[in-house]
Amino acid sequence: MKPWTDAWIEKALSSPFTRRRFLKGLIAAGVAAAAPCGLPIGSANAEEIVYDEPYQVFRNACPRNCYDTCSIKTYVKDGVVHFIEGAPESSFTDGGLCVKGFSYQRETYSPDRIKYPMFQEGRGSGNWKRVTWEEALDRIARKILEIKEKDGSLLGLGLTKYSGNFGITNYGVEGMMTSLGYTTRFVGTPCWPAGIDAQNYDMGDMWCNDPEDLVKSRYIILWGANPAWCSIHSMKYIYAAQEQGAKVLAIDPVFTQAAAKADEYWQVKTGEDGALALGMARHLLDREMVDRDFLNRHALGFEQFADYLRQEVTLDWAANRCGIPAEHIARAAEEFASAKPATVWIGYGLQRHVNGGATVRAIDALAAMTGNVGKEGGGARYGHLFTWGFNYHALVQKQPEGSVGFLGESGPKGEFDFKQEKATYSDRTVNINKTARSILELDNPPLRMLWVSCKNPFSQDFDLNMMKKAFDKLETIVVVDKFFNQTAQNADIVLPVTTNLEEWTVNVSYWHYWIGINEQAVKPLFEAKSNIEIAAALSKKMNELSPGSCTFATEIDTKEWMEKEFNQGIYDLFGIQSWEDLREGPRKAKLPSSAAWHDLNFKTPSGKYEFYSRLAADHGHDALPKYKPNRTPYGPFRLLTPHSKFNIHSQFQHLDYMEDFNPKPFVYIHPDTAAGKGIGNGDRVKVFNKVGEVVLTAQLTDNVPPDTVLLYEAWFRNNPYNVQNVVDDESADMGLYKTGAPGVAIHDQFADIARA
Amino acid sequence: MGMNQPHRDILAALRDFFAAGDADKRAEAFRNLTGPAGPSLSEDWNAIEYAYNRLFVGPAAPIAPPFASVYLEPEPRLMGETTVKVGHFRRMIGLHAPFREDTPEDHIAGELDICLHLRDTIERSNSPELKAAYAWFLGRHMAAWIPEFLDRVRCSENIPGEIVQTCAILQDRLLQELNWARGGDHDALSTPQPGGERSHETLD
Repeated sequence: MKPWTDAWIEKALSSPFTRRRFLKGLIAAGVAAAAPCGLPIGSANAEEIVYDEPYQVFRNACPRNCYDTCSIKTYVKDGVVHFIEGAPESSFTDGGLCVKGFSYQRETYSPDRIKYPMFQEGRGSGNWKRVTWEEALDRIARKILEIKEKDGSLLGLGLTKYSGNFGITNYGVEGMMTSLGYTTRFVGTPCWPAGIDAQNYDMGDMWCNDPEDLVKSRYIILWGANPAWCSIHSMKYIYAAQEQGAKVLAIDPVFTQAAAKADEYWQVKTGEDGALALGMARHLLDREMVDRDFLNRHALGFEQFADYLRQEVTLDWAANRCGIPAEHIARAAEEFASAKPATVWIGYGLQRHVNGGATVRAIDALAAMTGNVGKEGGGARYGHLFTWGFNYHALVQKQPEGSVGFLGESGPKGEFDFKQEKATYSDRTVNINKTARSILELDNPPLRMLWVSCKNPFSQDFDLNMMKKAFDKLETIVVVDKFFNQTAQNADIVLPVTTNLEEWTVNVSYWHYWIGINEQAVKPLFEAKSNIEIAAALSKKMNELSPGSCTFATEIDTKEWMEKEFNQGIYDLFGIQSWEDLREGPRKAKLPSSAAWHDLNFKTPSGKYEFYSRLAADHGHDALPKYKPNRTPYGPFRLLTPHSKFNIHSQFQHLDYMEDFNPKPFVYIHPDTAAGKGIGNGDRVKVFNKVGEVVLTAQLTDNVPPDTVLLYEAWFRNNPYNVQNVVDDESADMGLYKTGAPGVAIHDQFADIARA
Repeated sequence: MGMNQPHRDILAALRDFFAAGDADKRAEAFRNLTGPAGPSLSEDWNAIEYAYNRLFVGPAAPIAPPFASVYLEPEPRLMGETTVKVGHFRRMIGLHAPFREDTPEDHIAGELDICLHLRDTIERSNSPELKAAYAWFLGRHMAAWIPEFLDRVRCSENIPGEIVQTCAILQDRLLQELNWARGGDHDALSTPQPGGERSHETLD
């Protein structure tokens, strides 16, 4: 084949040997000498040719806010990720990812990524100008210094960050804020706080069994949990339990995918789960199907609870409230109490109510009184932070000398605030679940500048119309993100951040007990930086402009910073000598038992399981797990906005892989309800309430109850659809104790519908 | 127009237009492209920059991402096999990676840079191998994606004249380069074929 035919060139491009021969030929023929000045043709260059190599394998982890926190193996060639797979070394991930996880390569190489720091000339105008990191940081740093000059403190600078990236080094964003001074922090969590407080009142901590021991269960209640979508790796243990004869009961207002896999399904009235649990408890009390040994030796206040049940709870009352026939409740309660062990998976959705914490306490009580707490295959499973004992090196920073802050009470800054420190001054903390309201109300000083990272407030915070007004009040908004979402549209400055395949960090789960490192598998594309690199670059700029104004390191090696998160406690827990061991694969914590509370030494004030919690009473709640009414409806239909399987909040759905399967949002309506409103399948429908409205296509299904309409929360890149147009910021009952702010009643929302 | 300027100045100006990170550099590249006798346009380079970023950069999903892999891969993406292939080609003809930061090598500015250096080197060396390589690169690679890329620009609304004109010069220049490298009067870069699929064999 002649070396100047197209066919030869095509062949050369797939063969390093031929490419090298071509170049050597050019050199030999003196072509190199003819190259214009500056063209780096030459023999030295020929030696630098990169030859085809086998795949390099890197360890990664999924850092999203998901039960499964998958361990990933990433295969790289020519500096490009060719494919990824679930790590086979983790028995939990077991070699497979979910539909979202398998799109990570797609995400990293999406043409839609934010590529450079950019300024918007006129917020919301869409007129964006590319700037250098130097220019971006200069403008940000000067604004911070201006605020300090004007207000005498940095309380006018706010941070809102949550679970967009749970890699431990990303707590460097909070660290960056601390290193600048005392700032305003949006604290708490929209996710699970009411349940966390509930489990703390009952047991002294939130701690769940290893999900891999679900296989040992004889009876599993999936209560408001849909693991077939939201924790697909847990399903194999549920199936295995079923194969061994365990019964699975799904309790959910919506007939979910997990419910379809269950042996029995109950369509409970939304928010009446507490009544159902208490009805079961009353029946078991009547039948004396309770674990007296556990109650006598390891519980406090069961008799008061029993008195309450006898006086105020009956099966019929419970049946009326929750919509499940009394005989079903009685039968299932007996089955649950007879199966040894039996377990409840308490989903996060059922505590996103004004009575959510009370509900979790009632379900905990059911598991405890039947002797299932502390048992392998048993337990009231909710979540844990047992494996999160890192150094939080990036998080823990000191304020600059002489920083002025907020004089007032300080509390935890979210459930992951592991290093609460007392100081004369503190940050000014406001409820993350009332972000829009807080921005509008904050004064002395007002919030002037907002830094947004690992979060998309326009998609995930409540009451979009109020959020728009709140953003209008802000002088400067910086959004650090991978993609141009609705929050970024309303920013003044966007900064490109790395994907999980481009950064060093370490990840653990709040559900399973594995740890995995996240290696930098490929160099960041374009000008993306990791959150801690951004912090270091900002610190450098701050110190250039005003020496001493920021204590964050100005030069960092992100791999070293990942290493600095490890300590002996982590090494001992996971049975490793060094983080490097994790290059061989993820490792599981060495647990004396797969059961949480296996030694029945509870962390409550009494050291026992507390049916009666004085602490709860001190915090303004009922001491006992009593029934608490749900929110009074403010519209004719209940509105649910749960997770879809194609996204985690506003991530993933915008990728074309997801659009192929799920191209647009729907409102799901029961056929009877639709008939009453003259709505047909495929009709355009307006869903509206006091907050606002959304217009979208109807899909009729009896998977939802007649009194309920359902929209899945998501950010579609080519569609203004946003569920926060119809969700307000009403608080849940609990969450303040352990996460710094009450939860939010996401599922206590109401709306009307009409043909659009 | 730059029709009367030496080909290398046009290729260099086109490259610089698409490589520029700000309005000043882009304006300079445009003036180099059109020359002092160029047409009088609006010259509102801020507005041009906003439009340019909407088309090619972001931060919103760009209308016409200027990367070959977006058009040539079975599923549009960055850093595809196309990108790797362009990298191999670049190194095969003795060039280093074009960008300091991590921009995929099949960015249009990187590919125009390849054109510029190939044309220069071939003229000086008269190497038949390099000329064949250049013909392959233009006719088999760039011809396979530039038409759709330019079409996306043409189908967009409110595009400043400077960008429209630059795209027209780009199309014209590449066609002339291809004719120079191969001879003949092929029309490979003018319009995409129906269905968007383009055979790599049409230029033979």
